[in-house]
Amino acid sequence: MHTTAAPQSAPVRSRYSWRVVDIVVAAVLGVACGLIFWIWNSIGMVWFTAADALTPGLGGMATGVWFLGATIGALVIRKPGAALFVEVVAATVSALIGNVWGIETLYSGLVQGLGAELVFALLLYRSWGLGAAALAGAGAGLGAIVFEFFTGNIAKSVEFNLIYTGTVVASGVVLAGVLGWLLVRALAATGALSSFAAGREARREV
Amino acid sequence: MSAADRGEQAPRGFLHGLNPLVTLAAPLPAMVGMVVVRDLATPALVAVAAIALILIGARPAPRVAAAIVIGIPVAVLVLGFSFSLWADPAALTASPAIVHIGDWRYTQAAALIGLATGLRVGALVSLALILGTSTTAATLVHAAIQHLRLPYRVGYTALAAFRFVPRFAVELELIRSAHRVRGMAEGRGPIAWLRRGLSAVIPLLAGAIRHAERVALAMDSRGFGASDTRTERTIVPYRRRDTVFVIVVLATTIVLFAVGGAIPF
Repeated sequence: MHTTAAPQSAPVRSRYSWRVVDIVVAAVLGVACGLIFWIWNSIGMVWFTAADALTPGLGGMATGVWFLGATIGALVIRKPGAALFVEVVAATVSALIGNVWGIETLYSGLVQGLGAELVFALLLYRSWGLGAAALAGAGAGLGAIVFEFFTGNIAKSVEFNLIYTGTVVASGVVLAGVLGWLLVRALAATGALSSFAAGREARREV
Repeated sequence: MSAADRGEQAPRGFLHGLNPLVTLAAPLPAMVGMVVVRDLATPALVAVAAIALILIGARPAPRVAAAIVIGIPVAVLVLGFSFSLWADPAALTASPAIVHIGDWRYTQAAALIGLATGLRVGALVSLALILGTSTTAATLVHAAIQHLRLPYRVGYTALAAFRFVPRFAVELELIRSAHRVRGMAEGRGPIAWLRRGLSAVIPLLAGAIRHAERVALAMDSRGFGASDTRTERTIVPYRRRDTVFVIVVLATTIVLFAVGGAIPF
């Protein structure tokens, strides 16, 4: 079967440049996350509406799963642009399979990916731990909030927007940040990430 | 995924001969317009025009055509009804109630707002299907590489990744049967279903990444990405008829919005 002799692409250039294996794996992660989004579109929407009926704004708690692509992508690939690329591919797949938001999903993916990407950029693309993942989840949530504020929530009350911001950021931290980090750690444990820094680090710990 | 993506040989209409970027771009103004309009007539006109263009220009297989002609109106009605239940009561004008249940009233205004929203979604889907029924993802990516300066390294790998979707289904079935063989698929009901789904996520992702690595290795060994440009086997040309198509679609859009705006609904 598959041997784990780390496939090295061409001459290794800088720490920041993408190898072919990076692009292929990022695209595949994007497709997989798109499928996760698509499944979550119905479960998450039910949760969203149920919680929103309880207290308006509480629905934000369900949104974190939709930022997973950004955190997983960055934590595995560890290159500039990975969070944005994986999140956008995932949003595209989710829109292509079909959902109630249609083409708008793309814009959401773009801003959420940008939010997470900014956090990793501010950390100079050097930190890939649990803390960085949690911060990136919050960043993706903030990106989503800014976008949704100008596309509709501006008409809603201050209380709604404050509660919504709090729940979306918290959801981003837990469901995208911590859950994404756990998923990547579990993936590294299977040995599938052996050609990435994320997988090699996990191996040293054992 | 369109019928053409699955390799079915559909009869080819004139839309198939156009550059896919044109069938992507020409309906865009109408799509943006759909987000803005609030009446009933404009989205209905646009949806009918888009479906007519698909039936004449793309000539989809009978089963696909039937799904479009029957499916979209049904979806509009179902969506319209569910949207009308969610309509903001504060924004509604006073209108006679159609149904009374205790304190709750289903009013005519709510039904109309719901129907308008459903029609807009139906029109958007019909407009998107102009591209979906007349080209394949591969042709679209080739066109984007040749005309939009999409980096070919990204385009080709995205195409390769897109081919993984059917593989995901096969792999999921393998993982499921492996779990069953080991007696890990016990229990019925939604919670057991969710647990089974979650326990398949990690092996599924790990399998996908392993496959992606093998694909990347194969691409590397063939020299993929070594140089900054590459030659293309399929050329997607931009011809005069593409320009004509854009002009005709834009003119039709303007006429439909003018006529739709003039009808008082």
